[in-house]
Amino acid sequence: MTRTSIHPARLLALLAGLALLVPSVAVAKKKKDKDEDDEPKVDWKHPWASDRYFDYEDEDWSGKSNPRKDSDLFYDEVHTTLEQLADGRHRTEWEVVLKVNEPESLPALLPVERLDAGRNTEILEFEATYTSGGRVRELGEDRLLEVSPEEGSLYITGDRVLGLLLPRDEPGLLKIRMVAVQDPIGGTEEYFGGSVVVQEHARAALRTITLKVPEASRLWFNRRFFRLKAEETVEDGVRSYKFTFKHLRYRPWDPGMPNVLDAWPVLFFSNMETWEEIGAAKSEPWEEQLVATPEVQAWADALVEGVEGTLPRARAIHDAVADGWDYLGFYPGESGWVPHPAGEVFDARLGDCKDQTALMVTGMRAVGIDADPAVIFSGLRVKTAKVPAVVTNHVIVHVTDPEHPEGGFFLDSVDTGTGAFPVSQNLANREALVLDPDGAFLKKVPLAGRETRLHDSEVVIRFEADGLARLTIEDRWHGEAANGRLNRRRQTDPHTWDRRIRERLRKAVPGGRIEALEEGLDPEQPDVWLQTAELVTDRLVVHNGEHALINLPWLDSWPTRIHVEGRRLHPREIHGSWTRSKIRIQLPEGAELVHHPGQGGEERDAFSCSIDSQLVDRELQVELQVEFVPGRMTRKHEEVRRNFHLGLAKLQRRPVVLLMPEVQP
Amino acid sequence: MRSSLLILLATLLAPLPALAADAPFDLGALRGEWPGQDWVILERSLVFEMPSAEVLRVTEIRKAAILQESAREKLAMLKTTHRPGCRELTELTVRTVTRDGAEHLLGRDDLIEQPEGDHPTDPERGTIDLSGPRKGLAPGSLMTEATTVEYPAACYRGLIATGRELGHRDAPTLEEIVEIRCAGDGCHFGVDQRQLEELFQPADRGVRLERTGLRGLPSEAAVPVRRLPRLSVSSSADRLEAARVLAAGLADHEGPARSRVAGYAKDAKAEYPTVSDPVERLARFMGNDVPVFGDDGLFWMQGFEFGEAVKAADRPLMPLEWWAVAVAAFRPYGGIPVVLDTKGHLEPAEVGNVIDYDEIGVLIPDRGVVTHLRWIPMTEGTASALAGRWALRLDGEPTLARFPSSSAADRRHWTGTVSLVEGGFVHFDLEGSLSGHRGHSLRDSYETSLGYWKKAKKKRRSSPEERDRRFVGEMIFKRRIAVATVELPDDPTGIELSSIHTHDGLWQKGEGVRILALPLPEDPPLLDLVGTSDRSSDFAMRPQERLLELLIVTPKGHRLVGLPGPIRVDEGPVQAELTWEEAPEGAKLRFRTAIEEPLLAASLAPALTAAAELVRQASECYLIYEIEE
Repeated sequence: MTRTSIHPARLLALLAGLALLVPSVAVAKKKKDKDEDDEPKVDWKHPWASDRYFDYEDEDWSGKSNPRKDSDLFYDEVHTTLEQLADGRHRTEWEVVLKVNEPESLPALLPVERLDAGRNTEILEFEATYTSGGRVRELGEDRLLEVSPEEGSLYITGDRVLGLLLPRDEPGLLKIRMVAVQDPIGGTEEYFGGSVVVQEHARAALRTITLKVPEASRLWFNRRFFRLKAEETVEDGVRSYKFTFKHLRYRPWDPGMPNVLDAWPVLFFSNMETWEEIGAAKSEPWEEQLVATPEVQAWADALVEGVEGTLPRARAIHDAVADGWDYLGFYPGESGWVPHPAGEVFDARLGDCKDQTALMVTGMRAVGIDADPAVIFSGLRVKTAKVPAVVTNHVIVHVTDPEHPEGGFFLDSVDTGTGAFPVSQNLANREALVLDPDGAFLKKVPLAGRETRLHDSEVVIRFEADGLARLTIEDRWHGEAANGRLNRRRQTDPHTWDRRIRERLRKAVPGGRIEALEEGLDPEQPDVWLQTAELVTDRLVVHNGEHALINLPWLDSWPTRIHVEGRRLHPREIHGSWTRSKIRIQLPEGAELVHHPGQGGEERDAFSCSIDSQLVDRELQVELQVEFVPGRMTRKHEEVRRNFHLGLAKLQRRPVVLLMPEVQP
Repeated sequence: MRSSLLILLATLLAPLPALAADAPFDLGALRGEWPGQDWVILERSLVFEMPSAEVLRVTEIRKAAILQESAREKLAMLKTTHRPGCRELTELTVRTVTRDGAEHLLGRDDLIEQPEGDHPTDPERGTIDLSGPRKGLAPGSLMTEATTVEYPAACYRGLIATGRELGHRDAPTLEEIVEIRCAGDGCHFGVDQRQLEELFQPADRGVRLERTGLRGLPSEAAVPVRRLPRLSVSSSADRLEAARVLAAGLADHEGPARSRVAGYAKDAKAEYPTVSDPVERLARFMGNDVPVFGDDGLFWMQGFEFGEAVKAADRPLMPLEWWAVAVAAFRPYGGIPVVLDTKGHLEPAEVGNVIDYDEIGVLIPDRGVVTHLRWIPMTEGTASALAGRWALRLDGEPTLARFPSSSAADRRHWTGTVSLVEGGFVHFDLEGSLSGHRGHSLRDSYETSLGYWKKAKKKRRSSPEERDRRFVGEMIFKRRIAVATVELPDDPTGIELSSIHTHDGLWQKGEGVRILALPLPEDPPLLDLVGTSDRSSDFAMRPQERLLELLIVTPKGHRLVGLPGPIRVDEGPVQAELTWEEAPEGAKLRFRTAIEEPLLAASLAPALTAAAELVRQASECYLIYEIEE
């Protein structure tokens, strides 16, 4: 599933924010009346940002400048209204009054609405003007363009984005008002929920978020990182909740930061009270597609024949799909939320995560395994909202297994089938909504141990009589690391892949000539990808007088050219990995060891590295370990992170120096 | 798939009797013949026709055998484009028959149409992306794909010009038949690899080329843009014809565009307040800041449309709209309109050609070239981005010319002293002088930061010294440094830097010896070629010259134990020389690398990879010291 949540979440990612048409004089008045303002103040509660990051009138910011005048862009007003209409359709209204001081800060083409091919998006009203130098320009339909959305190259829906060509010639005041309606999401017509980011890309004097439902309905909210009571009214059969914010600073972005929905203040909303309720609604259209055709039944039966145990049987079906079906999401004019029938996916040997989940679940059920689809957010984790606001972008498989310690387990739908269990850190440490037709439920996906991320390598160096060095290399990728490597291999042209693995070896070994190279599943260990190689070289040793110097042939290196942000607000998400590299050098006869890497390294919460070398029976054994621990690294450690990488590179440049025996004439 | 659609697609496939015969192929034999290959093209038919003088029609039928599962990952999504009035995709059908006989059909109507929105005034003229799934791809499947594309003459103001690569990059083509049925008056052809032109034979209609056993391209690093032969078909036998047509268009539009130049100059001044030279300022603004559709080049996508002269801020410009303004702006400074090739470095074929060019611009003598994609200042008459490229010059009678190659296109010179300070820290005192490609890129970043700093200096607490320290630290060395200065010389591509910084962990203790692991200020060139040996493609390189001169001061109480040996590579356009010399204070390192040409022959591969090995060795050098008694 590539679509996230309901329409507002996507729109808010697209839009700079839009709002109600209110005369700008109101802004001046509002400023004047600030002290008389009796509206409730927002109570910011953020895990790492202080209140001053949300309010530009905080005493740390104010008094030194006029934000309306000094900002490149400044929202006098931004209003977002999302409404579930009585006929079930969803209505979106934006109004914005934007003060433009630096016109070039505006995008040339402002995306204003996503035209959802599966939901019949219709623009009901559109008005835009740009006022500058006393001249009011109407920005009419001739300035609206339909363009393609930025979808993944293998996921096509036929959606379009409506963009507005903006004037960018001189400072002015941009006003936009737009009203659009669209059908509810097919299969979950009753549901109305999602998320709205509170802050905008620029500072905003007044920001409102209004959610409306028919009077007989109500909404539940989860205010993330703020407390503010909604102003609830009922008028003309419509129940309305209005959240009003003033003096909002822009939303800050940093590279490598946590998921924005876990970093920026967000309002989650839903017209359903429990996750079980929305789960049941989502499950129903799925179940219709999970019908085993005779071909699917026969295929599943054959796969599990002779296989015992729930996990091995589930893996047999999962791995067959993972290995034999390719990714392609093709949903022209469809909702993009419901998979194609499992039988069609079986025939096409193609499908996106929904399709492949559908085939896996159908196959598993056909052989008696209690499997269900589970919707989840893949990538940077998002903490589950307290209300059932669906924020997901992926579907995986959950298998209920009473014999499993946690009552069941998950399998990814689009991995490679090797190292597939437990699922990777891109899915771990968060909750998935399991669409069990007997009762949907939230379930946490556990984070697997470090051993599932291990890349283990060993290089054995022997010197031959003619001075050549012979290197025997074994690389092992375990679990998730194996899965990732196979995934990259699958997506790479075979010739390019072969070139790259050869180049990696040759780059590590000066003058290295590859005499043998093989890769495949490790016959001795399940879920381990093994690459073996044999190289010879006459350039490993650099002679300097009677000294011989060996720059150790590490197979992997880490980036050293790391830019450090001067003013970072957010922590950095660290992707976990563990590399253990061993080099064993059998010393040439008569050679005396005068220098070796010794011991060293660094250990911090988020990362560690160590080097250790010792001489054992004329074999020098050097081990380098580098681990990045999945999690969040505080922003204060950015420079530390760079120094860690620089230090790691220096560990790798610790040479071995030998005093060579004198050669008899 | 809906049954009505199946009937429709079956009807569409009817005109393909020869290829629809679906002769079974021997999967095992093909896998044996093409090991590691996941699909092959069994037959490719390419037919060029002109049903009238106003249109060229290209029909391509490709019949492919799927050999491995991995082919699906590449082929599953069909993507193509349709450009109304210029490249009209009139037919497309894909039929896949699996080994067990199941048939999957995809037709023109099944494709999702997505507009790119790249025409600012007439959305109906914009490019449409077309996508659809190729289903049923599995080992043993036979895929037959047929497309017909029409090229109306009106697109390029009467000139018809298009082309196709021969063979296929990713897969071997076992048999390829090219028919230019329209060949003759008003329909001309040429191939950029000239020897292929002679292989065309007269046929019942026009000429025909039949070849077999064409290999795909091997995967290699640093490859040039053009590696497969390109066939061009045109209504004109004159390779300057596009230049004439464009010159006529410019003549009509340069005048009206002149009225807009002052506005652009004003915007340029606002954007680059610290750049005092008005020509440099306007060139930089026109090349780097004015939004133009087609940021991947290909100025001809929507045809030779000059549109109207609009203000920079009104909307993104069509490339030719931009060109008219740029030519008007720089004509007073001797500006010459130019059309640059696609960096193929091959001499264009002898026919009217359009698609072998991708950038339009203005050559400002002795300064640089401003194109609709960027500003390229020149050093000694060339630049890294221009070296060896062909260009149509539109001054007077159009001509075809070539920019010279020179290592001056990217010149970097570092000098300095390395010494040991207390605590085992290694102290670097460096001065750098950079010009050409890297110099310009750094200078551009620095001047942009200066402009930003000037605008915001009231709010900033940092001093100019702190600004320079951060710039050099983050942009050059990616580390915290102690002191730095930045100076901008007269050369518009030049920048001069100094830096003082220290490293720890480089001075290592052994049994009676000390070892210094010496880092270089920048990675030397050619490192990408380490580990590449077998080669069939020429090398695409960036002409450059780098010189590093360092004095490594011997610490007190230590004695240098010999010096690493010298390195010398002299392979014509590629040179590398590293020498060590003992001096009273320590050791002197001189390391020079130079690449003179942008395109190096594949036959140089053994020498280049050997050179790369030596350069790598030099970049990882160590000095060994003994402790004096």
